Amino acid sequence: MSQEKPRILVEHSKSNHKTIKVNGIYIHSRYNPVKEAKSFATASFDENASGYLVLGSGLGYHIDELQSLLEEAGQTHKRIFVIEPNADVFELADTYFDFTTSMKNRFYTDIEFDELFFNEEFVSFLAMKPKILIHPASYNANKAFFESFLTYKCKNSYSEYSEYRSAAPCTEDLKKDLKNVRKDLQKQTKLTNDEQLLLATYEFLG
Amino acid sequence: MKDILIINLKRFGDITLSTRLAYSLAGQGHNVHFLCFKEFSGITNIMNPKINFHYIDRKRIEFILKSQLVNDHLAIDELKKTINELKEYDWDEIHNLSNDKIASRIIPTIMSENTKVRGVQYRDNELIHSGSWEIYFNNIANELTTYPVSLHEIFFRLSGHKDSTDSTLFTRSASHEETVLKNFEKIRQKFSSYGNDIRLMGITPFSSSREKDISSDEVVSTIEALKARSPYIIPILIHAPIQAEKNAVKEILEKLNNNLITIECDFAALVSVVENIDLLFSTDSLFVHMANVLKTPVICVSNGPSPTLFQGTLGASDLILCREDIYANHNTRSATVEESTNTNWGEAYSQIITSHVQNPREINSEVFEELGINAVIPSHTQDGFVSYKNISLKPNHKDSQMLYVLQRNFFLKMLTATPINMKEITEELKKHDGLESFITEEKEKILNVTKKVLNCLRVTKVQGQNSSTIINHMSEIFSFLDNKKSLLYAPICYFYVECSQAPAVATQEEKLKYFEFKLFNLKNNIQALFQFLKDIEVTSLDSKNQSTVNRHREQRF
Repeated sequence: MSQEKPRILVEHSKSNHKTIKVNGIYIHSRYNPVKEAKSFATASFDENASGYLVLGSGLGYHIDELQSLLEEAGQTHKRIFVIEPNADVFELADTYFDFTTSMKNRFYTDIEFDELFFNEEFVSFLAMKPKILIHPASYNANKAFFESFLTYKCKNSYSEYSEYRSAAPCTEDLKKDLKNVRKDLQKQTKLTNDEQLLLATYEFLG
Repeated sequence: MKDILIINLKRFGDITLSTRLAYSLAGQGHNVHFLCFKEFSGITNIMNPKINFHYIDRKRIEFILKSQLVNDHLAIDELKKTINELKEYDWDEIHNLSNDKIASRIIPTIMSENTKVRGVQYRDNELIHSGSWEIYFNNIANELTTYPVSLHEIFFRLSGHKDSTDSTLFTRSASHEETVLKNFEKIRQKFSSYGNDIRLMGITPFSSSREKDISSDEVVSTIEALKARSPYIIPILIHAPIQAEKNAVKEILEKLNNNLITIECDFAALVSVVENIDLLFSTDSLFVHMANVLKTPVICVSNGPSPTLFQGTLGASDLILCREDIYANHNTRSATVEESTNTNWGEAYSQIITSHVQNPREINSEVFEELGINAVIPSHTQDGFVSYKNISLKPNHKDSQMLYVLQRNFFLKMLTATPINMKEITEELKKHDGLESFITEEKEKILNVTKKVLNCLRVTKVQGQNSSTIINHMSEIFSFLDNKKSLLYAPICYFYVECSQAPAVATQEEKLKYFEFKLFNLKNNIQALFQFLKDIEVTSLDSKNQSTVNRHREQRF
């Protein structure tokens, strides 16, 4: 069964700013999206945050406000990563705000949630433990996607590692979890460099 | 010119200390590289560009491994990035100065057949030591109740090179240099009424480990007491531009009504600051190692969980302070646990700072005794290293000092064949009442263990002997490892490590030959220890007789 494309409607708010409705849900205020975005950004801003992962771009008002707060606080080095599952919504946002002005920020759209966890830059960003900001209306409009994203657990099988490598350092039982492969390797009397490196990596856990 | 890689995967202080080796080697014209964790690049960024740094992003690797979101293979790939960088070289030498499992596992993946490895490394799943100093560093140093050979000396002994570090290890920016000199001149002018006596004293109370820090209250009371006692010593609080330190400084400033000079500086500016102060009062941290390189005198407060004679500052006129209460709390190996005192530490520190500024080499041990502080002073040895002396008069510290002198000299004799200046040692040891009984006890233990070694040797010669009988005999020898205060600990520990590295593929007969050879080595080392103790006994007896004769002469006179 093919998934139905969400219905998107662009409207003008009372403050004459644009707002959108996705499948009947207003993503921004019908009255004043800028004022709403300001209070969202102010409440979310944290001087000590290493960066921000925003779930839902909408038309980008809250991201723009957050960027302004970072500039005011002299924290322009901090990055904002945004996930907007709906490519049409993101495209609209891109026409209203020029997100390319800040080269350090990243926007992910039209992507499977698990693909993100294989993206090196995204993983590096997560490693910094950014503050996660949920844009409530966008979240509700893409609930299934964001819930899957937030509850994702990776498969840690050896086959994934071996497939990723051109040659598997060990061919037996590829379904095994990498952590179990480690235990097996610790008992071996001969190790290849790749296997030695796998063990070296797990030494980081102490 | 050799391609040399030095690995230290520890923290700021150890990295700073081990870059001395890197810089000394670079000074000899070698192509020197250094591997450390990326989070410590702040300090490596200000090192002389003669050292080429490589980094492992530990935080990222740990995040990936701990997270259930990301497949662990990304962590392996992350490590592999650095490994691939290092594989581009054909290393002549690799020095593992961090003695940890990560470095030991990495080494086989980047070395070639011709690489000479100093320090421990894994061969498959076996940990291999390439020499005596490696065994000392990996198996003995941290087990002893004192730390007879400092980490600085271990690094250089292990690598077989001399320390020729000078202040050019660190780079300085002209603008920072100018600002610091200008501001320090202003401070000197402001306090010009003290004339030539004025001393700018940097205070660096913060380290990467909170338990090592000098507390805010102690900083405040030290500064207040100094103002009353020696107003010509101008304290300057130095801190990093990080939130935790900013908060602590704010608290200190509030308590002192903002009446304190503070400097917030990053690593780039730190070199100019530390180089231009007259004295550094610091916790045991990278600041101390930096001050050593820049030849700035140091009073180091050692609050960490280390024995009092652990490695410390290296300057000839420096002073290490170890508080009795902290020492007792941390050092579970300490024989005597002292109750914590109600000493006003600020008052005590200010008294010590003042007398040290007035006369760095005049140490009155009684003063420290009253204050409940052990003072340790470094002194330079002929071969360019440092030995430490605890000047405390308390019995347990006197015993530690005696053990330190004996262990240090015996280890150096065993590991370097350095000729021992028996007169010098005896001069040092004659102050210790327990020497005679210690030697008597040690000699008894030596006789005991010698019997066991000979027994074991006899068993290895019996044809067709089964291995369990030999193992039983060896276990009896290893039981002496329980006593870490005994001088026998080191030779037996060497034997233990060598036995555990017995060639795995050898036949039973070859194995027996290997053990027999190692048992002979052990026997020789024990004999050397016996001779060492005997020499001390004789020299100290001579010295005693001589002093008795002198006393009689004086009395007659």
